[in-house]
Amino acid sequence: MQSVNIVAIEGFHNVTSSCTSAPPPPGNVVWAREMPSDTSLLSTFVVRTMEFCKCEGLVVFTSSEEENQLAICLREALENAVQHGNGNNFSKMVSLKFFTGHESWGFVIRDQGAGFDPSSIVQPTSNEGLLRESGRGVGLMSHYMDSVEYFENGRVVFLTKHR
Amino acid sequence: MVGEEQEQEADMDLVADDIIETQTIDNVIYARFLSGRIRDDKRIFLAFESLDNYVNQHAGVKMVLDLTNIEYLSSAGLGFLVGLLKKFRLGDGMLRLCGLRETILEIFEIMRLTQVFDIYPTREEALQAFGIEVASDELV
Repeated sequence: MQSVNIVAIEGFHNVTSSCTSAPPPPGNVVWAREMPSDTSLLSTFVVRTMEFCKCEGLVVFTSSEEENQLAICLREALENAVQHGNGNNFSKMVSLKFFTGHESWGFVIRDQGAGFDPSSIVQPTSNEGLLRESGRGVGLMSHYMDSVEYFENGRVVFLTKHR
Repeated sequence: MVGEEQEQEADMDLVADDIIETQTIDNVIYARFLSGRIRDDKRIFLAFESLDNYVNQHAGVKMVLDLTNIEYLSSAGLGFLVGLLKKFRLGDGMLRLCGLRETILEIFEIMRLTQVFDIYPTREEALQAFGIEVASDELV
């Protein structure tokens, strides 16, 4: 049996990392889609995903702010996968799955890159992180989602909201 | 008030002029993004890159950057803006922001960037902070 070694990322209250294979999402995967690694496709991909989630009743937003916040998280995670994960290599795909369960729902984003060490992320709101030019995407996801979990050396990320 | 002799177009090499419109008032550059809804990072980056090049070549630049027409700024955009601020500081310049939408201001607050940037609600207030009194209809 594979050992699970989950590490909390310093400076974030809800971001964890594990080098092990991603477990099944905590709910049923009801929708999956892929996109090539091209940042110019991101906006449309996010907009269509959000529209689909709303139209199918997968997510019920209580305000436009809430909807906007989820779109921000989705975009940041996909952008990380496209740019940092797949290195903008058009032939490498980023997959997106939506899962929904009794206790939580969310997205799983997977890239085909070499992975990275999530523990190297510097908390962007720390004094030493304030003037850094990167790392804020994880900060935003951490702020707006209930949990952000990296697996497989950062190649897979679960963005989860609790019910 | 801004006299005609004081009001002139900023240097042509300042920015990609189909993305940003600029106006020099006294010794302050007022820059604003054109178009009503800019969500595309590439266009924003192009404009920031152009501002970055300008600041690299000119010391002591004072600028008001109006983000009214920016609808969405990703973390990468924020990073670029922080980089730009550092360039201003390095060259003894000053960058002030104005016109941030509520959603963008919220992100600045979450990321504590309100402690790093000088942010004003309106362009008039941002210019006033540079000692420039100007009526709204005198700006581009």
